[in-house]
Amino acid sequence: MPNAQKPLTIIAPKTAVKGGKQNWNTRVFPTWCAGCGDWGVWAALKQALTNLGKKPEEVVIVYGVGCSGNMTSFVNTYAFHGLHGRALPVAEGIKLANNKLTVIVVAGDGDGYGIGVGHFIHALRRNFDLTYIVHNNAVYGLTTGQTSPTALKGFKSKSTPEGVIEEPVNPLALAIATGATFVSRSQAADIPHLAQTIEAGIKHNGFSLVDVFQHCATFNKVNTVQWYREHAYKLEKPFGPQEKTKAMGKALETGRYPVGVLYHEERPAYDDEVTELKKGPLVERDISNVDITPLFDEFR
Amino acid sequence: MRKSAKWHWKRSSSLDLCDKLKLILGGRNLSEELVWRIGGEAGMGIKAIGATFARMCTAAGYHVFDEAEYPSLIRGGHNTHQVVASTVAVHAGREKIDVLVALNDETITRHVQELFPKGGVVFDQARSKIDLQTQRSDVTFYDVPFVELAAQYGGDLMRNTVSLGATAALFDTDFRLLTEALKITFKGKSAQILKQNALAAQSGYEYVRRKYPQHIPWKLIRQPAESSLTHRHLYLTGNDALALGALRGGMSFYAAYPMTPTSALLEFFAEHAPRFGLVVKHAEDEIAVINMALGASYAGVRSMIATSGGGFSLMVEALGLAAMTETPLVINLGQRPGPATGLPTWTEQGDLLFALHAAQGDFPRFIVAPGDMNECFFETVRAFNLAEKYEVPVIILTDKYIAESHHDTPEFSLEEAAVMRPPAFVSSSSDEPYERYSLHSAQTSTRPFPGTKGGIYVANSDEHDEVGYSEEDATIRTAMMQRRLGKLTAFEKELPQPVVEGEPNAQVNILCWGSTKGPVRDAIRLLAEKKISANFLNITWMYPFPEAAVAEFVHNAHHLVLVENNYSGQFGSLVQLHTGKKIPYRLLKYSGRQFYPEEIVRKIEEIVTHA
Repeated sequence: MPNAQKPLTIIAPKTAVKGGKQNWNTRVFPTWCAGCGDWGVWAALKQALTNLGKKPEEVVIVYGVGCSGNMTSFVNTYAFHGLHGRALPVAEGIKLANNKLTVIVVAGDGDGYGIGVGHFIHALRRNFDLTYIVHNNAVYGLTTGQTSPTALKGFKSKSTPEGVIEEPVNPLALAIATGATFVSRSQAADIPHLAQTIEAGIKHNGFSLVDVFQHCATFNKVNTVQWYREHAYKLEKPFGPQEKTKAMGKALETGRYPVGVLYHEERPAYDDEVTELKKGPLVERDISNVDITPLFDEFR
Repeated sequence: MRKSAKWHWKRSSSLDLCDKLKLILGGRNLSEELVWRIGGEAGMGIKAIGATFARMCTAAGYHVFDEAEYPSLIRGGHNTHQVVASTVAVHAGREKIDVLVALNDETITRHVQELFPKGGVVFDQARSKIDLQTQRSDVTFYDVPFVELAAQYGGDLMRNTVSLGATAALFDTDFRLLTEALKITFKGKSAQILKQNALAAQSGYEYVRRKYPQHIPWKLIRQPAESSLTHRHLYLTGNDALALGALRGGMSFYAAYPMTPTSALLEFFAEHAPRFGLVVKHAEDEIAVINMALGASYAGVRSMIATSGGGFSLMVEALGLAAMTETPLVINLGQRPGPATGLPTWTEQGDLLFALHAAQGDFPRFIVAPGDMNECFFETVRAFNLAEKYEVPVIILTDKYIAESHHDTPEFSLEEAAVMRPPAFVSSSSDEPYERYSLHSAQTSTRPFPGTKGGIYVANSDEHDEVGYSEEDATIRTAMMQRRLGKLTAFEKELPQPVVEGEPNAQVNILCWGSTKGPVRDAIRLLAEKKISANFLNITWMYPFPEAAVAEFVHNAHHLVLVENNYSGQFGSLVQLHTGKKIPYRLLKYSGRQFYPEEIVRKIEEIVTHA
């Protein structure tokens, strides 16, 4: 492991977040634990929005419930803090109503790969133009430390004191198998890389999965920053549609985990293919006096 | 009650205003209606031919009510379609029938006892194992070789059309009326299909004319223009009326997961999406359905979802999310008998208290239960307006009975169904977040749509401050609860009030809600025939509870009767909760079938006799 011996400091972004054109901070200062990976995701997300020149009002972030969802009050954009596991369908509805908006979804691993995994699979195959950032730390932090669906077999916590029996959910493999067009992973402790990955994800026209190795400093003493660093390696470049099986092979690797954009494919997004949205966003439809009288002939 | 099976259709043509008033007030002989039922296996085209029969009746100028009963399967099983044709408005099915068209023996076995004396059975004796010696002697069996005749026009599938022609001949109906009805039924199909069906119908028609030229007691003939339906009438189901209301009400986004009895809405909206510019999404489950709709509403469009109890169970958590984030949403809950999968294709009013109490916490919701086609249409438009005005979930409570039964109804006037939107948020150059959940200004502050400068706020599932940032402070929590729940009090000021129908100071006073309105309305007419004066209060807007109107009705009642299509008298318990009055007489039915007016009449006769 090339990085294994280095000191455990979070890598700071090259440009200061607050120095951007927009102020992405709110009056509420984050409440996460000191050393939590969420700080890194927060910083990287704001950095990506700055880099892309986005304005706060054209961005909607939909949050799930968990420590990740608590970011709701900390980023200055339109936001919808939904229910545990149900952020994706809210985001899909927003995109269908107004496909001009940049829609980002922030969720956790319990949220997105546990209770909400059904929505994840369908969002992937639909290829909505959404960026899905999943804080993946193998534990339920907000409920003070139970095992999440991505915990490795044998992981011990308050809910699995004898070690978890199941195999972990493999979000990257699941995404590739289900028709994802942008499959990536980054680390909360590597803010520049994460910012770059989120930026690429937002730019991608289609569903972008950004799985984030996000250490829980308080409840996961196994998957620490150092552990992630030791068990991750950076990918050179993404695999394309011709090399899908290679991408799948990488996604299925255990022991060492690829970080970066693993798979990338250009395919029309769901919202590009909905006939009615080709005329413009649904929210601009004139509903003031819908004439239904021509339909009366169907009911004689 | 039924004096004779002889029909006097002509009489109605001479109705003047006085007679019409008499009809409403009672004193009318109810023999001016005809009840027809067809039965067979699923896949025999029972529903299509039932609808064609009904269209023939409306083409002739009759009012109709028709109802399909079918099991939850695609082939086989026992299916029936009943049509009540009447010279006056009709709102419910009937227990007793005049003519039974039996495409199989099971139909005879199951329904022959439902025939009026002198009723008729139309069947294909060559295909039947029924021993006529063992059958009712007061019923006439008309043998028509459905299968043999159908063979010339495309085979067994045409049996239903042959039988329709046969009944039209029995009723002395002008064959052109049948052709008109077939044209509507097969609209969009090839000319060849229409022709085959017309020929098949004609073969049945002519066969009956030749074989049974006389002694036919019924008549279903073209009504004079002044007493008949005009083309301004529609023939539709509650689902249809509700769908038209949603379109008129400005619904742009519809999401659903198929579930009887509301699947027809998904199909209707999907079909008409291109024409009206709608986005329709068949989502992966009902949890996704409601969350998608909330996303779409949040982004600024009018959204609707529909389901039945099972799907609504999955939506429950997000129902509270709608209220918490103050996001408008219209939900159609089409009830069917539960619990669990229950009786998927039958009817019940078992979800009232569920709709009222679903989801954790105290929060506002409005509930409306349309009782006829007009209400299905106009109250749906109103539901959209109210959902947006008060930023609450509005639940439209229907059931299989009203959702899938056809009625005739006057064409809806669009002037009376206007879209009313709250003032739009005006964008500003401000970089400050917007206090969308203001505790100082109006009850509901203007809702900015994402994309609008100066309007940034958070729609938050957690308790929140005025911008929407998560907040657990006790004072803010208290104020936010008052802000949300205050909507119920605010809406009460414009709550549409229920109206008593029937005779004032009647000796029998019926309380009902939603779809039982139809059977109760027809029962009142039957009671008037028996010189029993009755009136009823049907509740349409059910929550917030119309306390004053209900209290006045129950406290002034002589014989107060609850008519409800469930086991426990759910509405009755609400009445007691809100008025302190325990309803002395309860007529409850939970067999999966709606009441017949005759059942209500029997119960009321019993009450009046023993009181």
